[in-house]
Amino acid sequence: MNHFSHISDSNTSKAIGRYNYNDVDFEFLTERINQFRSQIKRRLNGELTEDEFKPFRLMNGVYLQLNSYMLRVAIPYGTLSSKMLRGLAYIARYYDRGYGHFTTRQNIQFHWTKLEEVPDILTYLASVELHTIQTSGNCIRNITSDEFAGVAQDEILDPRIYAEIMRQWSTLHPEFSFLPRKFKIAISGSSNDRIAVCFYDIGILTCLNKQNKPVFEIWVGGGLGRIPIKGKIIRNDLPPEHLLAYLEAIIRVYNLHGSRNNLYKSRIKILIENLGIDNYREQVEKEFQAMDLDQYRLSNDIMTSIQENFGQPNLVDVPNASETLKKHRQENQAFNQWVNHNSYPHFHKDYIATIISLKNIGETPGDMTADQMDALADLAEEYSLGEIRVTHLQNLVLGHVRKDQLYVLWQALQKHHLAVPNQGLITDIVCCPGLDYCALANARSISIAKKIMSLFQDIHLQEKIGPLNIGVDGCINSCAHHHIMNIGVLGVNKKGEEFYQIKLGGFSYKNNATIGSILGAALTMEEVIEAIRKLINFYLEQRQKNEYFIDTFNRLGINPFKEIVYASA
Amino acid sequence: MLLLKDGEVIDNPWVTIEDHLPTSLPEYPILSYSLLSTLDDNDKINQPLGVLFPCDLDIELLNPFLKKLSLIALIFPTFKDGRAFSQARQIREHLKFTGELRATGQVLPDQYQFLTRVGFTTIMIPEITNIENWKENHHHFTIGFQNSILKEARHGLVRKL
Amino acid sequence: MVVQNKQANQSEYYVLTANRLLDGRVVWFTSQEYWGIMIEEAHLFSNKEEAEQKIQQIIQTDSARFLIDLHCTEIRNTFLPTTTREKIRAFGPSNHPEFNPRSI
Ligand code: HEM
Ligand code: SF4
Repeated sequence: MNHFSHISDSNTSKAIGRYNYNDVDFEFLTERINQFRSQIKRRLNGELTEDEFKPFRLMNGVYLQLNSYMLRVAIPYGTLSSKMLRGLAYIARYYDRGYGHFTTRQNIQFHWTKLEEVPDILTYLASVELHTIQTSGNCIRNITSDEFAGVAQDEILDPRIYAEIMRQWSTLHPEFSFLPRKFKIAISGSSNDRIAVCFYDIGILTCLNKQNKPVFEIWVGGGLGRIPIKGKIIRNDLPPEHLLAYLEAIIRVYNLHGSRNNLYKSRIKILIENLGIDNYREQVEKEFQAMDLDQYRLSNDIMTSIQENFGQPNLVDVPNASETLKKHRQENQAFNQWVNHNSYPHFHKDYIATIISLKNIGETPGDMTADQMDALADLAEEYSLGEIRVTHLQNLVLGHVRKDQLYVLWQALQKHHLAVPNQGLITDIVCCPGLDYCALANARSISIAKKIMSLFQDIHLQEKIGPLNIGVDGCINSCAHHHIMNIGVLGVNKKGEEFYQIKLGGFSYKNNATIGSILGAALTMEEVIEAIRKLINFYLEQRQKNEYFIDTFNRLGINPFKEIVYASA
Repeated sequence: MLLLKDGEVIDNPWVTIEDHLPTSLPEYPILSYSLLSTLDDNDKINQPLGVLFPCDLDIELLNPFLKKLSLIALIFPTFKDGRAFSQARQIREHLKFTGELRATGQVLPDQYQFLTRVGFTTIMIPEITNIENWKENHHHFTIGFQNSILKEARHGLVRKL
Repeated sequence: MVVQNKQANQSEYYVLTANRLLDGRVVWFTSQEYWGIMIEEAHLFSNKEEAEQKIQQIIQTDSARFLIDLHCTEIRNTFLPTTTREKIRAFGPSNHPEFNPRSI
């Protein structure tokens, strides 16, 4: 069989915004699944110990949680087609318990899978062009991107093409599959940070150089977890054609020198902190200079071979689209409210992007039922060219909605509880699975998130409070970003009982990126909810005109907030 | 221990010497790097020579000995410690070493193609092992997506292994 | 059951628990030496040493191959684990009461 005769059938239209698989990609996945099948077999017949098997199961996205096995499926650069989303609904319904959990790293987790069924699940996922490869383990993880890629007005290049290149390149990388620790990469095609670029092992933004050519600004050594660190710029003018060579140089230095004996010191951030960024940069440049750059160059041929497998959105001019939307907004208050909070401008004047909030009051943040997935897949097909994006804040986006059709879409979304008008507001809480699922957790996080959401469920109150983000984590690993949220809640363990610490003043994005400060001693679940109520009331009293929570906090400093929570106690 | 090459068990003529130098060397000696570095005049040696090189040193240290070396053995303290993958690659690409590159320590069959693609040619494996696993894994994947020492035919990013 | 004869300050017991290799479900070691789904089925060890000795025994047997994360944990005489973590292992995640092992 000739692996290179894969120019795809021109009759089948390609899914937009993402790379469409060809024969080679399908065959590769089959080989991978067969390998995992045989690893499971060797585990069951005793040839592999759990210690030997674990890295392989992790590299296939299978975790053991408290109550069951969890399977993490990658959604590369956050783009799904309707077909893929239906595939996820199928897995949720027939192999899990009817729902899935979207994470902050553009993955979806199924919490109730069985190891013995995983190969069958993987086979089904492969048929809809999804996989779980490297969603865990000490390797290069799912490459994430900007949820407004291909939509945003400030975009310089389409980051998804490069994200796909990195996805392929990192897949079973012979040199980098046994790194000291996990390795996370995110990329945006804009110079405005929408991806929290300073908090990845490698974060990439795109800028224009003096010749007006796109270049990458590369951040390294950021991360959250036990030791949160803001990344540093290692290079601000990397020509895109050298992306892979430069990444290999960065990761090779890390693979050789990162700590192997202390789990908490093994991320690249610690190595860079120890060596200093200038020293690290010097080593990377030395490696880079020694490499045969032609071997790595992203030539026009390579770019074309990737790009031609991406479906392109067919955007049309729609007479009076803006006027129609304006009219709908005037006529319907609730719709207007939703558009205010849950939309994002599109570069095409007749289109708009819309954020589907997965933060329903009373529900688990980030969870979506199989029925909702199927419904949204249909709606995406009808109203957004069959494409759905996953955000890094556990919401979804329909990227290409005609302005004149937004109203009908909203009506349909409402039927499935998918039109919650709270994006960016206090109830749009980012929340990890916490102790209800996670084997590493100290305390539950979902219960906290739900309680805060119900406390502030009045939309007028939410609007009055204004933009504010909360992250709730069950442990210091910070999967829900509590370190870099305006308000972070962190679960701690005191003799087997749940307590919570509050952090204030965190900010996720480049210009003001800040790791929050601890407010004071840990509180019980009830106390923490009361504390947040007090904090918000205090802010509402103290705020000056046009201030958001974070502005008031930065102006006043932490002490008055501390007093409000701890004085009476 | 068994020695594996291209998925087949082969004879291993090499003898590893780690502690101190004997008065006369065996025909095919692999010296630990610390012994090798004490040879004050390695130019005098006129026989095949190998080195067992630790995973926490810079491969540049091998430069002075390169012309004399027919074999470099690298170490995987556990299969999860991937430093030798990068060392192998640097030895092939930066030092342009063309002799035998041997993997020692703990490696698993599932890592076989990773090893060959970064430049290893032979692997030491325990006697009690399922050779069929190694054979199967030697050519399990027919597709790869990265540059490799083996310079496989490519189309776009895809290589036919 | 011996439980009632214990002093109030001694009302803690130890039980053995693990996850099943094949499907990941939480199981408890019973007096009949099978692994049950319900914590109430668990055999009560009156002290930690005894429980840990049993773990060492089990590890030697073939059945250990089909278990992961085998460990002992403290419970009160009402079959209530002392830590929240083990409560969740025993009764399921609190955001889905319908997933309590009793109901499935
Ligand atoms: C439930 C199983 C999960 C496990 C066992 C797990 C494990 C971990 C660990 C150990 C870390 C710390 C890494 C370090 O400091 O070196 C971490 C970080 C992180 N995880 Fe998770 N996680 C889980 C779920 C999630 C979920 C549900 C999300 C998204 C909501 C997520 C997203 C992240 C992010 C964004 C980070 C911080 C970035 C970093 O520094 O790596 N993880 N996770
Ligand atoms: S923050 Fe901790 S508790 Fe929450 S998912 Fe991550 S590892 Fe688990």
